[in-house]
Amino acid sequence: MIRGRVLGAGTATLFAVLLISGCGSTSHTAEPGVTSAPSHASASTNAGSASSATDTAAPQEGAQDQSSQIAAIEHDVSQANAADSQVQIDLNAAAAAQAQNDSP
Amino acid sequence: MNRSVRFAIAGTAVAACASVGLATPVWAAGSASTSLGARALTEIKANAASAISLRLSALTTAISAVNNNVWLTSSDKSTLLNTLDGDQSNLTALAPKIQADTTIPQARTDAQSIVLTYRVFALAIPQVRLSAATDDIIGGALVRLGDAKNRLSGLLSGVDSSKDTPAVQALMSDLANRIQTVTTATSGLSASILALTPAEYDANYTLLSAPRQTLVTSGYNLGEARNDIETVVGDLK
Repeated sequence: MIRGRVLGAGTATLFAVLLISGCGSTSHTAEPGVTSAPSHASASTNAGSASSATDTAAPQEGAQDQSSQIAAIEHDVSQANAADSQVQIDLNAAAAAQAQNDSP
Repeated sequence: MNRSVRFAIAGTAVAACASVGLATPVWAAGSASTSLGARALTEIKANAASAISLRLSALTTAISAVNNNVWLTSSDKSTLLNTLDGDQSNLTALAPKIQADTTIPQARTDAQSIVLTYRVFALAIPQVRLSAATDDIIGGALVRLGDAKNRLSGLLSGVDSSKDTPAVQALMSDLANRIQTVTTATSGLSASILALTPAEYDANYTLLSAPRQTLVTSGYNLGEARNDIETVVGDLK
């Protein structure tokens, strides 16, 4: 059977490499640096206020920026954890399929 | 196997009758043997229908999983769905063909093709799931952890430079190494998984063991990377 799946996978790899290399990154904007994020990831609200405090005193700005960066990092970790959970789901599903009798 | 035994016994009985000069039994030449063959054909068709149904159901589940996977890129999603839809469509078409088969060899060959041509459980679905898992890592976890690492580096070289202790540096170094290790391990992995064919699987039943282990190990490294980040974040707070 022909399984024409190579192009898509290669595209995904290239896509990821581009993102990792910085093409998809943003600074501390509303969404933590991931322009390719799945739609549900855009629900983040914890990193959007950093750039709005331009008229505050420098120390406060630094603290606010640090705080928003930490929030963005924690959001990233949470999303990474969610992706990892999906990895486990996929691995388990693969194992379950392989456990089926597939003999002629 | 049961069918073969029954045919062997029937054949032996006919041969025995012939060898001792008896008339060929009516059941061997007439309606009984026809009935036996018809039963065997019916059994093959019933088993085939069941096997196809099982696979169509599994493919439907896999299609739903791909559609609901938020980490897959649209192009990968499209590729995976093409594969699953293709298998589903071909198996759907095979079902009436088998039911229309009029001979046992024909039905048996078609029934075997349900497994041998598609390897839905042994290969196709695992391929899709393992490829999806690779994308989950590349497009999801790695991107997020890379972003978190860059943000941490920015803080440690800026506003939080006073907290950039050797212990924190060691954690950041470990984080970078684990991200790099997973990046290297998963680079091209999805493509190699998707390129596998049923014929290759038949030549090597452990074909998917190595990529699976790569994904398991990558999952471990990603967990450790998250721990590194959380520890550093704890130090910065």
